[in-house]
Amino acid sequence: MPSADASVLEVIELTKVFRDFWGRESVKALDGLTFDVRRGEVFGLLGPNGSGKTTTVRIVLGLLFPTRGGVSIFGKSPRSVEIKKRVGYMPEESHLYSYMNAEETLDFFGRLFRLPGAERARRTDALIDMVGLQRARKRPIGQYSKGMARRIGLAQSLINDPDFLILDEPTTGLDPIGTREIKELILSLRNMGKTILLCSHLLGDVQEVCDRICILYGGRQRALGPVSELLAASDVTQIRAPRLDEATLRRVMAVIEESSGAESRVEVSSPTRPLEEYFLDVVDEARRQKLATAGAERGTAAASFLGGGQVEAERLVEELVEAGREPQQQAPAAEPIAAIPVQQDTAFITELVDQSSKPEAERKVEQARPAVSAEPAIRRGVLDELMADARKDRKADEGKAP
Amino acid sequence: MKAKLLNLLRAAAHRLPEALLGVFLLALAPMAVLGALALWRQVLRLMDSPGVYWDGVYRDPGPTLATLACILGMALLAFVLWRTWTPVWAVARKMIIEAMHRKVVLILLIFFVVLVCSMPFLLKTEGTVKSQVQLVLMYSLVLAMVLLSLLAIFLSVASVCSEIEHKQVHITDTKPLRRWEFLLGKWFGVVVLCTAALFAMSAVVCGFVLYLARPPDLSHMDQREAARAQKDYGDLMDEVLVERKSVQPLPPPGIAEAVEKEIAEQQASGKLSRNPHMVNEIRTRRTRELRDQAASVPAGSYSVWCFEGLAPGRPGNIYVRFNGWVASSKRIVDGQWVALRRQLVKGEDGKTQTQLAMLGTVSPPPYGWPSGAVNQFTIPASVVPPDGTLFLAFENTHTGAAVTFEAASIEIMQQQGGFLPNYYRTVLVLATHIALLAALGLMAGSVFSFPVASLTVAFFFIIGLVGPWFASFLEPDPFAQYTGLQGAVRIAWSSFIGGVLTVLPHFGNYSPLGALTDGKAVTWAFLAASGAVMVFLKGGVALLLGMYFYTRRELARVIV
Repeated sequence: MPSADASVLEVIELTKVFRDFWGRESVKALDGLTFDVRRGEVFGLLGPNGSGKTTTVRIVLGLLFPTRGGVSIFGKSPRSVEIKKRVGYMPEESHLYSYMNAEETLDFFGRLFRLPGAERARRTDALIDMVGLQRARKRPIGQYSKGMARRIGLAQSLINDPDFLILDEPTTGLDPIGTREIKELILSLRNMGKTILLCSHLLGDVQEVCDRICILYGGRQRALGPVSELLAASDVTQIRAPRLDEATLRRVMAVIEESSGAESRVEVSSPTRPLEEYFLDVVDEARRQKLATAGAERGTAAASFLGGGQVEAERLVEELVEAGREPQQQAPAAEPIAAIPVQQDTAFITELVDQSSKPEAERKVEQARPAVSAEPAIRRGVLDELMADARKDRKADEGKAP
Repeated sequence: MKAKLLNLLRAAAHRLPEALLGVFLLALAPMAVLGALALWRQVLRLMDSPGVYWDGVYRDPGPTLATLACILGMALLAFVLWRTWTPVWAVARKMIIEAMHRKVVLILLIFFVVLVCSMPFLLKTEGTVKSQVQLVLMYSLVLAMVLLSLLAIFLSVASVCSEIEHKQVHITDTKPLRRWEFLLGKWFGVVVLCTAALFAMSAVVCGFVLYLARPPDLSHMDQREAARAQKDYGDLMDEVLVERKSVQPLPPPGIAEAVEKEIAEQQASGKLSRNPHMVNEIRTRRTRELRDQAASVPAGSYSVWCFEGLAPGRPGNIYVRFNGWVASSKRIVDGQWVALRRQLVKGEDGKTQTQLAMLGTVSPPPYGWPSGAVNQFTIPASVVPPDGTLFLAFENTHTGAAVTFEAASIEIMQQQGGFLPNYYRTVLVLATHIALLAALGLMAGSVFSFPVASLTVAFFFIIGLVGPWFASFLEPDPFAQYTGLQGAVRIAWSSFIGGVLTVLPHFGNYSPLGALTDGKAVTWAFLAASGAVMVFLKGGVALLLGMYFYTRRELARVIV
C-alpha cells in the first residue's frame, strides 16, 4: 500500500452488504474492494451497470456506510467536515433544486462553504462563464435541458476550488462540445494539481483522460493499474504514414512479411476522421456565422479562482507545457505504479474496449504509447528507406502538378 | 420599463428570506425589551424584600425555573446560531425560497384574510360589540394557528423527505455541512417563515379587531340606544380589550399535606400506581375536591377567602367571579359578598393583633345569582388596601341549603395593562407551538418517509389538542386493583400510556386564547412556561432525536 501522504483516497477491503427488512443479506454490492487514488492523478472507476461504482462513490462521500473495510480521504473519515471542504462532487444526475436558478444554486452552495458574499459572487460569475450558461443564469434549473443541468452540476462541484474532485458519469447527457469541454477541464484541473476520481462507463472518455483505472465487476476489483499498461498490446505494431502509392505499399508489405513471416496478419487502410472532431468543426463554423442558440454556449477555460487564483499565469504555462508534453508525462505527481499488483483479466478488458468507439480509442492508444518499441519486429532501417523513397515520389508528383 | 419592473421584483423575491428574517427579528425585539423590563421588576422585588420573594419562589418555583430555562435555551440557541450562521442560514433561506415557490404560504395567507374579513358576517353573536370582538379574536387566531400548524408540519416534513427522495441531499451532504446543522437550518427556516406569517396574520386580526372596536357613533342614536352602545363599548374596553390580572384565593391550609398523605397511604397499600403521571393526575384531582369541600358554606354561615397580590391605588373597578351551587329548588344563590381588609389593632393586653375590617358589601342583583353559572360583580378598585391583600367573605343567607363553590372559579380580576402587550404575548405563545410542531416534523421526516412522517406528526398534533380528554379515555382506573396476568398487562399499559402522555405535547395546557378573549393577562410567566416546555424541552428533545437519527442514517439507496 502506498504511503498515506501520497494517497488522496484510500479504499481498503471495502465491503457493502445490503440487507432486507428482516436483516437477511440481499445484495453484496461491494466485496473486499481495495484501491487508492494518488495526489494529482485522474483515476477512473469503470465497470458495467451494477458493478458497484456508484455504491463505492456513495461510500466515499459518506452517503452510505461500509459494512466492512474503510475509506479515508486525505487520511481522514469522508464524513469529516474538514475533508468535505476539500472535496467536490458531481453526481450522476443533477439533483439540484429546480426552483432555483444557476446564480442562486451556486450562491447556496457557496454559502455552505462559508464563502464571503463578494467571493461567492466572483466564483458564481466565473463558473457560469466556464460552463457556458451566461444566457441561462437567471432561468430556473427546472427549465434546463439535461446537458445544461449537468453543466450547472459541474459548476457547483467546483465552487470550493476542491483538491479532490469526484465526477460520477460527468459526460452523460452532454453534447459532444460539452463532452470535449469536460475532458479538457479535467485535464486542466489535473495540471493544476487536483486529484480526480472519474466514475464512468464511457470508455473512450476514460481512456482519454485517466492516468490509472480500476475496473469493477460484481462488486469486485477485476483490474487496476495505469491505462497505458493495461491497454498495451505488445504483439502488434501500428504505423501511421502519409498516403502511400501501391508500389511503396507492396514494398512495405514485403519488408514486413520478410521480417515477421508470411502468415502474419497485416492490415492496410485509410484512417477515418473521428466524428467528434468533424462535429466540433461544423459547430465552430456555425459559431463563426453567429447563429443564435437558446441552450448552453461554449464554456470558457477553467474558472480563474480554481487552483488558488493563479490561473492566468498557469494557463500560459499550461499551454506551453501542453504543446511539448509527451502523453506519458501527463501525470507528474503520480508515484511509481509497480507497488500495486495488477490483476488483469485480458479477455474482459478487450471486451470492454471493443464496446467503445474503436477509431478514437486506437488513435489515443497510439498517442499514448510512443515507447512500446522495446524489441522492434521489423527492420527499422529498411522501413526508413522506403518511407524516404515514398516522400521523394510524392514531392515529385506535387512538382509535376500544374 | 416592464423588464426593469420584473428585475426589481426578481431582486425583491431573491431577498425575501432576509426580509422575513427582518420581520421575525422585529417581532421578537419587543420581547427582549419587555422581557428585560419584567425581569428588572422581579429584581426590584427581590431587592425590596428578599425574604418574601424567595418564599414566593419556594412556594411556586415553576415561573422562575421556566424563565431560567428560557433564558438559557435562548442563549444556547443564539450561541449555536452565531457559530454556524452562514451554513445554517443558507439552509434556512433555501427552505423559505422553497416554501414560497410551493405557493402554499401565499394561498394560506389569502385564504386566511378572506375568512377573517368574512367572519363578522358568518359568526352568530349576542348582538354586542363585545361578543363580536371576542368571537372574531378567538376564531381568527384559532384559524391562524390551525393553518400555520399544518403549514409548519407540511414544510418541515416535506422538506427533509423531499430532499432525500429527490436525492438533493446527495449534494448538500457532501458539502461541509454537518447533518445537525442541516436540520437546525430547516427548523430555523420553518420557524422564521411561520412566525413571520403568524405575526402578519396577527397584525391583520389586530387591525380588524381595533376597527370593530372603534367608539360608537352616537350622533344618529336616540338616548336609550346611545346609552346601550356606550355600555357595550365600555364592557368591551373593560372586559376584553384589556389586560386583567387574575388573582385566585389562597388555598386553605393543610390541603396539600392531606393529599400527599392520602397518596402515600394508597401507594403503600398497593391501590395506586407509582406512575408519576398518574400520581400527578390524582394529586390535582384530590386537591380540587378538597378545595371545593372547603369552599362549601352552610346555611346561615359564611366563608372568607384571602386574595394577595392586588395592586393598590388603581382607578376603575375590579371584577369578582364565582360559580356556586345551591341544593334548593329555587336555583338561586342567596347571600351577600363582603369586602374586608386586614387591620392592626391593639388588644386589651396591649399587644398588636390583626383583625378584618369591613370595606363594603355587595348585594345580589334583583333576581339573585343563578346557581351553577359563572356570576360576576364589580367593586371599586380603590378598596384594595395598600398591602394589596383583600378579603372577600360570602354570607349564606339561605335558611336551609348550603352553597358549594367551585374553588377554582373564585377569582378577582384587576386591570393592569393594555390590550396590545397582552395580544403580543399571546402571539408569542402561539409561536412556541409552531416551533414545537416544526421540531416534531423534522424528527419524523428524518426517520420516516413523507406519508408516515406527516401522519405521525398529525397524530401528535391531534393528541396535543385533545390530550386531557384522550388521557381520561385511555387511562385505566388508578385506584382499581388488578391481579395476575391481567394486572401485569394493566400496569404495563398504564405505565406506557402514562409515559407517552407525559412526553407528548399538550397544546391545550399552553393555549392563551381563552385568557386573551376574556381580557385576562397572558403573563410573562405563562409565556416562559410555554417557551420552556414547548420549545426548549419537548421541541429541543424532538429536534435532538431527529438529529440523532438523521446523523446515523444512510442517505442513499442501494443501486446494483
